[in-house]
Formats: sequence, structure tokens, C-alpha cells
Amino acid sequence: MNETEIFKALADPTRRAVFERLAAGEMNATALREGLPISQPALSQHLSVLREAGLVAERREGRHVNYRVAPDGLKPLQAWLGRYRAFWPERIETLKQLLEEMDP
Amino acid sequence: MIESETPAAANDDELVVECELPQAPDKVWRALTVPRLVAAWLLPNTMGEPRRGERFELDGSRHGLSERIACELLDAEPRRRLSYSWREADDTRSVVTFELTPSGAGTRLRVTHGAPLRQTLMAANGNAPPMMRAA
Repeated sequence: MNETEIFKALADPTRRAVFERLAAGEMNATALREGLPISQPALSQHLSVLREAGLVAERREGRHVNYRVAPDGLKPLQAWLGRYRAFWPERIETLKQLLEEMDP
Repeated sequence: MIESETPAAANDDELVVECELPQAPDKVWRALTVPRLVAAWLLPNTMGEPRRGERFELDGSRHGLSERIACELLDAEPRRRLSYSWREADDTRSVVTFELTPSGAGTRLRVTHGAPLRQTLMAANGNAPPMMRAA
């Protein structure tokens, strides 16, 4: 799983809708499909892509499968933010110093 | 920061740094666009003229980023706004935007770095930018 896979997985509007529903809490495929204009096989396919991207996890309960947002699913995005969260303030401080030293 | 328990995925994923600078927009604009000056505060670069469509590279290795960050100027409005795409070695694509506003004799500078996910989602849905800020 990497950032690029996450972005690809969520670039599809239907998959994004599915993912956002799961953000509200764990649910099974029937509940998940309610109100979405897609077939059961299509939903399975979307869930499979989300699972492969590490965004969604599944839990079996008897005959049912429940889906939920994977706890570490957004870690790569968080890593990206972490990388730049320190970067920009540091660069801006250096910019301020440079501006002081620049010719008018 | 996005919490994995409440992944409001598209809402909290851009970095914004704002500051007041005592220098006028003209001078700040030069610091953002003259290659030698950009190298002094941001990153070593192959920048050319600040013209829309201009491509260049930044070397992020000194700061733990990709050695080659591929950029393309999306918007260059002198003394007001500069925006370029920012593609890292792993193909992560994002956009950096600098906005300059006159503020007294100085300049208010706002730097926005939209996280890659946000760009993708916005492109996919045509949504207006979310208003929550990560910084």
C-alpha cells in the first residue's frame, strides 16, 4: 500500500462514497449498498480495490462480512502531511531571513 | 491531521502557512521567482521564467524529500499569485500555491500545499475546496 494506490482507489466517486459511508461505522454489504445505484458484484469489486489499497478492512461474523475503515488506512497520507508540516514553516523562516538580506 | 477513526478524508488535508512580511509584494515576488533566490530559501532548482506552463525541477534531498521534484507552473500572476504542481519521485502529485496581498507597506503571504489526496478527490468530484485547515 502506498500513497499512489490510495489516491487511485479514492479517485473513483463510487469508491469514495463507499469509503465515506464506512467512515461512519462498520457495516455489512447490504447496508452499505442501500441508496447506492450499484449492483452487489460492482460493490464487491469496489470493496476489493479499497481493501487492496489498505483503506478498508473486513471482519467475518457468521455468514456475514462486516466492513470498516482500516485503522492504518490513511497512514501514508498522514506521513505525507508529516513530511511537509515541518518543511514549510522552516522554509518560510529562511525566506524571512533572505528578504532581510536582499537588495531593495 | 486526519484521525483514522474519523477519516473526513477530504476535509483536513492541506497545509497552510501564513505570515506578514515587512517587504513589499514586488520584493517578495522576486524571492519566489528568481532561481538563485529560490535556491537560497526553498530548494535548489532549475527554474526558468515565471511563465505558465514552464517546467522545472526542485532538489528536495537536503530536506528528506525526493531528489527530483518535478514542477509545472500552473499560475503566475506577478506580485499576486504563484502556483505550481509538485510531483515527487513516487509519483505523488500535489500543488503549491503562494498568494501575496499588500498589507500596509509590506505583504501578507499565504502558502498552501494541498495534499495529494485532496487534489485527486477534487479532480474526481469537482468539489469546492474544503475549508478546514491542517496548519
